[in-house]
Amino acid sequence: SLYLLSLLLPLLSPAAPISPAEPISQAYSLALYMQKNTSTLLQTYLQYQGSPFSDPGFSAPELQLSSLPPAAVSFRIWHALDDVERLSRGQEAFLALSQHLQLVGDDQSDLNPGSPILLAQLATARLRAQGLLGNMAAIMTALGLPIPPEEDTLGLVPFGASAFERKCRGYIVTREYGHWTDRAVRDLALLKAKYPA
Amino acid sequence: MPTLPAWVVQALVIFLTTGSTGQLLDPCGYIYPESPVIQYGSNFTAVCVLKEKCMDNYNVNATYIVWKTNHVAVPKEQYTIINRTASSVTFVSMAYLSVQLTCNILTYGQLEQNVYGVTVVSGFPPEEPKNLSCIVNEGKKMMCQWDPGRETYLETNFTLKSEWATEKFADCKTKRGNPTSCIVDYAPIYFVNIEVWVEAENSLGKATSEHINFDPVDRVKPNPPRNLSVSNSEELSSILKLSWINPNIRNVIRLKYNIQYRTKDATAWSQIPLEDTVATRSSFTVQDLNPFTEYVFRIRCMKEDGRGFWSDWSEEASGVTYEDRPSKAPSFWFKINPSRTQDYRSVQLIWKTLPPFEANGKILDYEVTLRRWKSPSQNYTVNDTELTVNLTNDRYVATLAARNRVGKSDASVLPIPPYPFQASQPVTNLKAFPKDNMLWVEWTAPSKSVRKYILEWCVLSDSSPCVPDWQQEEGTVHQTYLKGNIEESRCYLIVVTPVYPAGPGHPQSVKAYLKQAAPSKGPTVRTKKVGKTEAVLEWDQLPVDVQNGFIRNYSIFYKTIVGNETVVNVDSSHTEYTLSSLTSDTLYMVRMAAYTDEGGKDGPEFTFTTPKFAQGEVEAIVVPVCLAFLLTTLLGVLFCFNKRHLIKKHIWPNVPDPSKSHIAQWSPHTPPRHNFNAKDQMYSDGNFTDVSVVEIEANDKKPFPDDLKSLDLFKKDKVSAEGHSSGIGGSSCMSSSRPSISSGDENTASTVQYSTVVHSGYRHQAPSVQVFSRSESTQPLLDSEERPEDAQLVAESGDRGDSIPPRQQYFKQSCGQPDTSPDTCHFERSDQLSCGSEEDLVRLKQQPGLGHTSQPCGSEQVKALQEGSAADTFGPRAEGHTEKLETVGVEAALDEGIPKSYLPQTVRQGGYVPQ
Repeated sequence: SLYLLSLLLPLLSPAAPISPAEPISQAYSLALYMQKNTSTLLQTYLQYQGSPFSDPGFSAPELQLSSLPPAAVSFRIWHALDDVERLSRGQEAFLALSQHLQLVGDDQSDLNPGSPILLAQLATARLRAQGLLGNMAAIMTALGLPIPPEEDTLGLVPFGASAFERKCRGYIVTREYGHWTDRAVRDLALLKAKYPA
Repeated sequence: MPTLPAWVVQALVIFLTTGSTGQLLDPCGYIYPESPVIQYGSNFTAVCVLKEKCMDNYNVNATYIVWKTNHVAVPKEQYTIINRTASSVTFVSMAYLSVQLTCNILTYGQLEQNVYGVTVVSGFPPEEPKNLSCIVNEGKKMMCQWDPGRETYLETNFTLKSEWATEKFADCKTKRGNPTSCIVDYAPIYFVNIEVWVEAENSLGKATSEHINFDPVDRVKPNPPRNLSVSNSEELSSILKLSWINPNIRNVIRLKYNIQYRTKDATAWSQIPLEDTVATRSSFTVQDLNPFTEYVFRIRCMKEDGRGFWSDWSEEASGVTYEDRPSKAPSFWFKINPSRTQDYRSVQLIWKTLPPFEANGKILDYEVTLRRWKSPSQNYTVNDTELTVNLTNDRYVATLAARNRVGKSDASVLPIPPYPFQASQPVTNLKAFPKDNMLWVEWTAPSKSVRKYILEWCVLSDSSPCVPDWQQEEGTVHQTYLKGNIEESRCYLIVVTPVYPAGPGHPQSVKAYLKQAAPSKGPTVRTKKVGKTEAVLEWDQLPVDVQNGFIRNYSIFYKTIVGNETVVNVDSSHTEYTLSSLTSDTLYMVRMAAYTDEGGKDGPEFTFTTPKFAQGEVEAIVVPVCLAFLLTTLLGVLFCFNKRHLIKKHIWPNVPDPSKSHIAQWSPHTPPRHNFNAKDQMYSDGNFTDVSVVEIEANDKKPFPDDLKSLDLFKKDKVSAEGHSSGIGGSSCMSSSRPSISSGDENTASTVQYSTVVHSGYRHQAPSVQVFSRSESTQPLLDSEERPEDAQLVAESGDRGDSIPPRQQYFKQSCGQPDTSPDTCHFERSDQLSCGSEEDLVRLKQQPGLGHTSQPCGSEQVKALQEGSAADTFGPRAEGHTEKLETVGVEAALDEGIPKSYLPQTVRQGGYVPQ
């Protein structure tokens, strides 16, 4: 998965310049669809991690991962961004998310091997993040924008983490996955309005 | 490796052959290539290399190699000896899909030893898979299928490959036995385009299908909507509301729907316009339905934009619309029952239940009113569909309305005419014909405005009565079909009655078939009369139950046993036909066929024989013949009866009884001539008077002096004559059975005749009158005693056969008599030799063989004889003979040549007047 972007370039470049409306719509539909499932994913994840994660009303917004860009952004900054910047930030985030979801999936295979539902949801979430990444690349191609270079976000992730650390990491990833999906829906809605079908 | 078992078998052979030398599992050589797979129809070369050790053991080299395919030796021309140890074989255009190729060596004694074997497999490289398509059944993983192309005859692997721009997915390997579809093992990710293609690969090559790129969400086949339910509305009897639960894919995509419905009994579905259900929803109200009708619904869905597949149909759900008041008045008609009194009549009002689509609910009851002119109406509430009321002979108006839970139908009005009533104004041009498997009735409306028409119909049958069914049609209708269970091949009698405001019009009827068929039985033909050359055939009309259609015509087939069949077509109105120009005395086979428009049916065959003669023909022949015979017989009898005396003369001459004669007395004296009557003269023909004695003497050829003797002789002569005559008399036609009696009868008659003859003879022979004097005394005696005498005489003659020769002697003697004229004697002789016609006749009679013909009393003969006898008297000498003629009679005279000879003699003598 580290070579995804390098693969992406040759595959998408030769595509004929098509109307951006279609990939935007598709990406938007996907983002919307993902949005419906993010809270479920988070709830399912927390449920399998035990206390305190599974406690009702568990929330730890202060926890962050340095390798994962935070989705939270002030409205002024977000509003000031142009399409390219929004798409690039999103791409960057979902690339990181897909890698982190893979990592969380691996962690959970160790920590909760008997939880196929959670593992399946994590795998699906990763695939969807991957898919949205592809859709965003297609939009950028359609818009004639340069595709940002690859970035190995996970190279810095410490592998020798404790179970709790891994659970916390998983919590942050699934939480941020939801946040970034929300942000992607907003971004794409904006873009969709800009490029109607 | 399919070739492996083959060469294992071969190796086993080698093992067995080489086992004796201790070289286990060490074949004598090898074939290269080891497991050849070639393209079907291509060239192929294999090489067999022998091992040195083996060559030494068997003392062979490569030239000893024999190639075999499927145990059949390959022609040597295909071999190539490469070197001492290797031999190759080449096949041009291998046409086997699988063939066993073995390398063998010919060892000592021409024994073949198997060295090695391979299986050569041929087939085709895979073609590019075509028509790749994928479907995502909701809740399941994506399945793709394709067309593999031509058969390769080889094991070919198909691999479904899929990838995103950013990710490759695991290959989908087809399962054995189903190489044309594959289900991927990852959950579909909607809204991300995926690229899919198929790779086909076998030993001979690899082919890749076209890549297809799609968003899986556009290949979705949703699950059908669940829990479809139907509810009605009390406010609106024409609507039903459907509701359902959408499939879960609703969370991903928007849906459109397809709703179908039908009435419960129908099979065809109606469809709600698709444009009414283009958006996601979970309920729908169906409008414009019929009241109180059960409808069945089903629904399916698909992605709103039409990309993807329709779901399967949901389970069916049904609901009933609410009731509404009956939309139509029932059909209403009446029958007048036959029982009636002076003032009242029994009228049966009948009506039809409304069909459900007009009843619009459950009919609770019917309201009937009867109103006589200006009198208050009578009301009835009836649950049944008929009402019998007693009405006066006045005119009535009946009304009928059906009622259900919601309301009441319009009223159906029926005028009931007064009694008596003269119906008029019938419909015209009434026709009935089948069309579209229905029996249509068509008519021309009368000029008067018609309120409605009543059609009644029933099946005409000999076995069951006409039970009419009926239907009502609007007054504007002039063409309809019978709404009932109309059967084919049955004759329907259809009656159409127009109903006017004043009452029913005159009914008109017509017969029709829904579908004709050939009669189920043919007519039975029989003969009414058979003549010599014609036969009158008759048959009965076929019963209506077997007609199966309108009998259009009959065909009569008739033939003789050998002849060709002749066909005569006869109009259906006939029941009789006359076959003419038949051959007499011939067996005819005749059968009949009756034809409807749809075909015919033969009846049983009937056989008859024409007679040899026409009726009366036999009678016409036989009766006249019999009559003629009878007449002839009668005439004959009559004639014979008339001439019985003649006959008697011949058959039964009066024989003077010699015992009663008094010759002695009359000889001396000459009787007075006056005493002689004709009779006496005749009797005296054998006179023994002086003269006659001479005569007899001459006859007897006896010397004159012995008168008595000559008398005796004469007697004898007579006796013999009698004997003969009786013999002849036995075969006489008239009195054959009793000659003696008849002759006895004739005596009297003969006497009469005799007298005549004698009389004439006497006149002519006046000189010899005295001759006759002799017999006068004998005659009466003969008359009375004749019969017994005769019998005695016959007996005597029988006893004394010698009586004749002496008499003949007399002739001779007389010839020699000097007293008698020599001429006479001469004449007697010549008499018999050459005489006149009379004599011939006489002679004919004489012959016993001819007796039959001569005896039947032919009048000419008789006459001739009479003449003859008359002529007798001419000759002067004949007088003596005359007596004989008398006594013997005609026949008797003929009996013997001698007496007969007298006749000509006398005639001649008559002729010889000088004598």
